[in-house]
This record gives sequence, C-alpha cells and structure tokens, in this order.
Amino acid sequence: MTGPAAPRRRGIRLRRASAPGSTPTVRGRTGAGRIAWLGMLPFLLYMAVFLGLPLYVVVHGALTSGGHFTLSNFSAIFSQSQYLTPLKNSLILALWTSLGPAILGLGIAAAVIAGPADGLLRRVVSSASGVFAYFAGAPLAFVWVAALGTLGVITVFFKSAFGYDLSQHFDISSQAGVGICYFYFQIPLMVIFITPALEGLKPEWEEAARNLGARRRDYIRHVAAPVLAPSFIAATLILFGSSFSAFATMLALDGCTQTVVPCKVNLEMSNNVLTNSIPLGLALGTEMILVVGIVMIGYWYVQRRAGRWLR
Amino acid sequence: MSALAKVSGIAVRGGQSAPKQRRARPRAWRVAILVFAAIFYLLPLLCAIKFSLINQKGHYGVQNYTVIANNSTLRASLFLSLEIAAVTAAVVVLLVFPTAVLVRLKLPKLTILMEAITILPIVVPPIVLAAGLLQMKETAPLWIVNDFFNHPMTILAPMYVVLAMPLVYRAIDTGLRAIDLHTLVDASRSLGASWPRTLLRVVLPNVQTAVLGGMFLTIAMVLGEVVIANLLDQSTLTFPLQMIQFASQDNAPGISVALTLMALAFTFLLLFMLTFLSRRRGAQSAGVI
Amino acid sequence: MTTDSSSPSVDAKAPAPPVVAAAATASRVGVQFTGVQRHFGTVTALRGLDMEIQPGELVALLGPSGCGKTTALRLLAGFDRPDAGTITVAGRDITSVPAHKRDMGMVFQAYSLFPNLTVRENVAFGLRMRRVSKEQRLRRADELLELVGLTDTNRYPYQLSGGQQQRVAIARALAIEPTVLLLDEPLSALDARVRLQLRAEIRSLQQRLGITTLFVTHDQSEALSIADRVGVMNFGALEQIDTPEYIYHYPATAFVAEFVGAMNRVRGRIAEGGAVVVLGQRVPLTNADSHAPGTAVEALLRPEVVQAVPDAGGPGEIRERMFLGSSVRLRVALDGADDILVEAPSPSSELPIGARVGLKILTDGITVADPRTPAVAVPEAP
Repeated sequence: MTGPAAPRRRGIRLRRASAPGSTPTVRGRTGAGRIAWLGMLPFLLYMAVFLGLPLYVVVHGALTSGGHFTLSNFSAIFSQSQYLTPLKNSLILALWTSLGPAILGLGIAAAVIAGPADGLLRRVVSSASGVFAYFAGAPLAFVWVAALGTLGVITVFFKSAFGYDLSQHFDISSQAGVGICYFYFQIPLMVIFITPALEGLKPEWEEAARNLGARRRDYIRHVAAPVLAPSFIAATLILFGSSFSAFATMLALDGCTQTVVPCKVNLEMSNNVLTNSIPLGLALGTEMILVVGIVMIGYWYVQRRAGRWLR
Repeated sequence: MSALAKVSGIAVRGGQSAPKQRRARPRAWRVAILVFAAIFYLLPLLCAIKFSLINQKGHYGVQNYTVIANNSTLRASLFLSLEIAAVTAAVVVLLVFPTAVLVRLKLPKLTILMEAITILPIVVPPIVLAAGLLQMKETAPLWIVNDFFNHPMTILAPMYVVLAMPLVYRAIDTGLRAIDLHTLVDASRSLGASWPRTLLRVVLPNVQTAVLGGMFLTIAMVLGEVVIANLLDQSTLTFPLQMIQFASQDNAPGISVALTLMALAFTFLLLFMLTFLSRRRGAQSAGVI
Repeated sequence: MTTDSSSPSVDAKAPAPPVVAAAATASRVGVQFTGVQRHFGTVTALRGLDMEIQPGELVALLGPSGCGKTTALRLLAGFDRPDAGTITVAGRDITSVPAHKRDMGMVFQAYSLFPNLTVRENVAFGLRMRRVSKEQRLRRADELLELVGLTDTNRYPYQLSGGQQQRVAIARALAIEPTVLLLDEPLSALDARVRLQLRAEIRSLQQRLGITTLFVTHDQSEALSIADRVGVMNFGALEQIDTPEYIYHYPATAFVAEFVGAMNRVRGRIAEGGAVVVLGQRVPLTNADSHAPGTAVEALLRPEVVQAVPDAGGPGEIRERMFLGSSVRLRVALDGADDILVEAPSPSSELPIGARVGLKILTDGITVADPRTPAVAVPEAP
C-alpha cells in the first residue's frame, strides 16, 4: 500500500511462503492442558460422592448378606412373584407412559416451534414446560386429585349433571389413573428434549424437497422423520427411565399401595420387622439400576448414530 | 423529476435481508393439537383452583390460601424448603457453570460423557438414591450421622444438587451454544482479563437468562421433591411433605391444592418474566425451549 | 480472460452422456416477471419488478444484501407469493402454482442436501417424487454425478467437502430435467479457489444443456464472468439489466457505476455538442440528453481509463500505491479537487509516491451523474 516500490529483481524467484510466526495451530486454541482436566475435578468428584456413592452402596448391599458376597438376594427377587409382579407392572406402566407422551410431546413441540420464536405462545409453553416437567411428583398429584379424585371437581360435576359416577369406572389411584397423571409431566419433558432436534431441521431441506416435487407428507416421510428418529428414540428412552423411576406421584396419590417396583423398594427399606428386607430392598434397587442402565446404553447408542448424520 | 423523487424517497435501510415470512394461517393440525394441550393442562388446573377455593367448612373462601400466613408449621416448612432451594441453586450453578464452560471450550470430546452424566439423575430412581443414603446412614460413624444426616439442610441440599444438575446443565449448555463462546473468551483474554474475571464478567452475563432459568427450575424441583425427603425422615418436614400431610388429614385437602397452585404459579411467573429479559430479540427464544 | 468451457470430467471424444443429448433437444422456456411486488410488513422487498429471461439465457441478479434479488428468486421458485404482479414461464402464468409443481431445479447456498440419504439417493430424490422406477432413477443419478465430476456416490453429505456438496446439489437440481434452473448464491459459502473452479463448470454445464437460468449473487466478478446478462438491483428495484460489458462500461445509474467495480466521480462541465469537459479534456457523453450545456456534473470514470503521466507541473500528486498483482492502483491527489483512483498494468507503472503527474482520459464515452444527488434517475428498462 505505502512505501516506495521494491527494487526490481532480475527474473522471478519463487520463495516458500513459510515464516517463523505462522498462524497458530488449532491445538493452541482448543488444546486441553492438564489444568483443563483438573478443572473437571470438582464436578466429577461431587458426582462421584453424591451420586456414585449411594448407587455403589445399593449395589454392594444387594450383593452381600450377613457380611459376605452372595447372589441369594437376586435369586429371590427374580423368582418370587411378589417381586416379579411389580417389575412387570412397572415395565408396562413405563412403556405406555413414555410412548404416549412421546408422541403427544412431539406434536406439541412441532406445533409450538412453527410459530415465532419470541411470540407469546412460545414463551408460555416454554415456561410451562419447565414448571410441569420439573415439578412433577407430588404437587401434580394434588392437582389431579382435585380434578378427578373421588371428590374431584370433574367427578362431582359428572355425578350431578349426568348421574354418572366416574369413580366407579376410573380410579385415580389405579395404575391407569396414575399413568395418565404421569402424562402431565412426561409430555413437557418430551417437549423440552425434542425441541432442539426439531429446530435442527433446516428449512433448506424442506424447501429443496418441495422444489424437487415433494408434498409435505413426502418430505416428512423421506427426510424429516428419518432425521428425527434417533433423537425421538433417545428422548423416549429418557421418558421411559423417568417413568420407571417415578415414585413420588404414587406416594402422593395413595400412599403407594400399588405394586410397582419403587413402592416395593420403599416398603422393604422401611420394613423393620423382617431381617432380610433391607438387602432385598437394595437388590430391588439394583434391579432398577439395571433397567435404567439398559436404557442408558440404548440412549448412548442412538445418540451416536444421530450425531453421525448431522455433523 | 418523478423518477428522481422515487429514488430519493427510498428509505435508507441497513443491510438486512427481507425476513422469512411464516405462513399467515396456522395449519389445522397445529391448532388442533394446541387446543388439545390447552384443555389437557388447563382443565385440571381450573378444577384445582375451584377445589382450592372450598374451605374446610364446605363454602367458598380464600381461607386455604391465607392459612399459610397463620399456620406456623407450614410457614416453618416453607422457609426450610426455600432455604434449601436457595443453597441448592447456588451450589449447583457454582458447580455446573464453570464445568459447562470448560467442556465446551477445552474438552469438547467429553460432551457425550457429560450428556450421559446429566441424564443419570433423571433416570436413576430417586428412590434408589434414597435407599442408598439410608444404608449409608446405618453404617456411618456417629459423628457423620449427627452432623450431616440429621439436619435437613446438610443432607438434602447436596442430594438436591445432584437432582437439579441435569436441568441446570441443560439450560446453561443451551445458553452457551447460542453465543460464540470461543471468540468471547479469546477477546477477553487477549485484553488481559484473568480466567475468573472472564467467566464472571464476560461469559456469565451472556448466559444470565439461562442461569436464572436453571435456578428457578431448581427452586421448583426442591419445592416438589418428596422421595428422598420422605425416606430420610427428618424432624422438620419440608414443604412438599407438609403438603402431603395436610392432604391426608381429610378435612384439609384444599390447603394442599392451594399451596400447590401457589407454588406452580410462582415458578411459572418467574420463568415467564425471564423470557422477556433475554438480550437477543427476534430469532432466538429465551426460555427453556 | 476467457473461461474454459469444457467440463473436466467428460472426455471430448466420447459420445455425450444421455442427459446432455436429451437436453439439447428439449424445448427452452422464457421467464417473465411483470410488475411483481413483495412487501414484508413495512419493508418493501420488491417494488414492481419487470424482467424477462430469454430461453436458454443465464441472467445474474446482482446487488447488495436486502436489494430483493433473493426475494425475486424465491418468488420464481414458488416459495413465496407476490403481493402484486405475475410471473409467467413459457407464456403460462405460474403465479399461483405451488412450488412442488413448478418443475424448476434450485441450488441453495448451503445445507440443502438431505443428510439421511446418500449422494446417489439425494440426486435421485426428485425422480423418486415423480415415481420413476428405482433402477432408472439411480442410473440417471449416476449419469449426472459423473457429469459434475463425482465418483464415490455412496457417501453421505457430511462426508463431503463444501464444493462437493454443491456439485451434488447441482446434479440433484438437474436430475428432474427442469425447465428453469435457479441458483441462490451457490458459491458464496465456498473457498475462493473452489468458487472459481465451480463457477466455470456451472457456466459450461448451463451452456451445454441450454437451460434457462437465474443466478443470484452479491459477487460482481462472479456475475460479470458467467452471465449472458446481468441485472443490478438495489432497494427492491432493477436498476439496469444488460450484458456484462455494457453494465461495466456504460452504467446507467450512479449506483450501478459504483457497485460494479471502482468508480471515480470527477467534477466537470457539460460542453456544446454532447460532450463534457473534465480534467482539462473534452470527451463525448453517453447520456447527454438529460443535461444542458454549462451544467456542473460529475463524470464517472473507471480507474483503468485514466492514465497518470509524469509531469513536473501537473495537477496531481501520487499519494498512495496499492500493488494488486496484475495491476497497480494509484491514489492521486488533485489540486483543488477530490482524490482520483488510477489503475494501470503493473509493468507499465513505476511512478513513485510523491511524483507529480498529469492525467489523461483514455475513453471516448463518459457517463455523468448529477452532483447534487447521490443517485441519478432510474432509467427505463432497455
């Protein structure tokens, strides 16, 4: 730009473009030194102590009896029907209270993000999802009872208006009743987990598909659904795990007389009469960890596949 | 002259391209599903409101709501829970925020691991954690039992931090993804700011809505958590447990419902107001989703 | 500079691939925009666009962000509907035809490949929508991919580079044998080198297939090098549409003059006989009819039509010198006037900074602008 013209050289001499102060390497910018790994310690230690330790204690206790290693606890819970029935109930309950809310949550999330990002609908749904998903348990149970319990507003209304006693046919504390209550917080959980994936669907894909002759349902069938599938499955797995472990709602709704695994755990752990109940309770706890572990492996596998396409 | 006027009448605009226009008419399925969702969520809530307005004598009144001002046990449990919530929220942010920044900035390979860890508290049954804790209580030395296990704050708050971690991590991570973290940090560091200063003065303000949202959700969670609190059987009941106790007294279910509604409304309002606080307008939303 | 017009992947001696042969016999269509308007709330994206694209022609729409070029393209593609006006293709009014029935091929700027489909399946997608049999459509996909120079077709988009992805996008758009090809800044997201290479390939492909094309870009060298005609847009209006040479040498408005290439504005005065006196020289005018003799105007001069000659008593002094590789650009300060940019081929320019020079105008036709307003009247369409 400025400065006198460089003295002319005879002919053209090529020089390598390297210079001592070349551009910084990628590693220099994102390289992780030892300090970075040290920085992870507080978090990892905390989790290890307050999450890992109780879990370890449970598993350890399940595998011991009278001070030495044994598998008798496990053989007990996997053979006696008083323990197998709750397992079956839990699994079935978790299944439909994860699939149903998954589909409904997907629909609601899709409906919401189609609107403007800073519109009223989005704000309301965003706030409400957070509240319902994380309040869960006891508080929601009360709302539910107020609506559909034996003295609930809807029940009373039906009785007085139509002479139809809802409580005869629909018991809020039955598995079905509790399950529908689960929907209340499972759906927002799904909305929260699936929204990032939905927003990851690029508008260019939809437009390109249309340009190539696809109607909306063709686009969904050939592009949107396959791309969303891994995230959908992952989110459903989370819902399954959350439902399987849900216990507070039951506790609040009817003091946990239902035969599902969490209640059994509670029963055994608080039972001071039988001497062997605590290890059994812990074994049941371990069983739950196992189920959850399988869910987590499924989740991890699906997320890896999902990440592959959308790099 | 007219052509000139046409040209000079053009308003000078910045270099923004025309906004992508959404469809003006909402599609039928959108409306249908949102109506369904509205009914599904509003109906029970409306019932609950009606329910809560029936006082113990069977008439309408707001006694259920004012009881909190009168009943000292309830007040005590509310304050206890709020205390625990505050401590939990503070600790969890302190723990999660630097870690989230660290992972996104320096250790991106750990992202999947972090995601797995943050899913754990959601799927691991709190009942199992509680069982483990109970077991630890049985076998722990006496001084630990006295100092930690017997006080609600010291035993519940740390566990609640674990339970709150997923939502706070998720909120903060979403907030970090939305900003150009690398550039911000590089700029701050090159101007001479130390790491703590950078985190506190540069990064944190840019994700403040996410952090606040996470904290509010933590409060929501603490006000509703019964599993661990129940199993660990403390002398002073936490707020949600107190609510359950009221419910089991057959002349006061309305109180529990009233309290629930207040807690729900309070948290919802906090989160809703938060969505207006975001610095980004337009294309970015400012809430949990 | 001439562009190489042979596609690198096809041997000149081999018979033309079926897709090219078919296209050569296909009918070509013309596109017409008539009074097309589009508003977004208070923002006017297009104000009455009138434009015609001849059959087989490549028109490049050039302009700054927000000028409306992308809006025009999207209206043609069917992703948006105009608030007023009509769009016709081959004489048929398609204004209300939905996007998926328009039979046009579009290449987006980025991210448009379907991530869950292989390259082959991506290209075959349009044919699948048209219910072509699997064997046939995959075969055709392979033909097209060969045409754009891609061999490994069972990979997924995320495994390809930006340039390769755009090649796939082009093949995918061509697979359906569209009547019109639309390109929305297809090269903007690519590296400079890949951009140049792909630019030439797109042009050669378009010419061989003879497909009517609308190409939107903000890069003027891109527009000038590949288009049959360039349309310069600003604030929702088409300021000029002409061949690249005409746009460059005879800009109709000051905006076009300054947007395309560098431009000097030098004060001068209209003289008798359709000429202007500037820098002490009398040069014929191209747009004399709108100005009376004696009017003070600003002459629009490209840097390369002004020559700096050493002159100890000259009116100019060299202040800056920018070496651009094949040419040198000098900033000359004039006594009592604004600075002027002069450009000359490198070997011929040795003048140092501080040298006093005289200026010589090398062209025989100048356009002038009214110095009082930033933009001159928008001309009628040629």
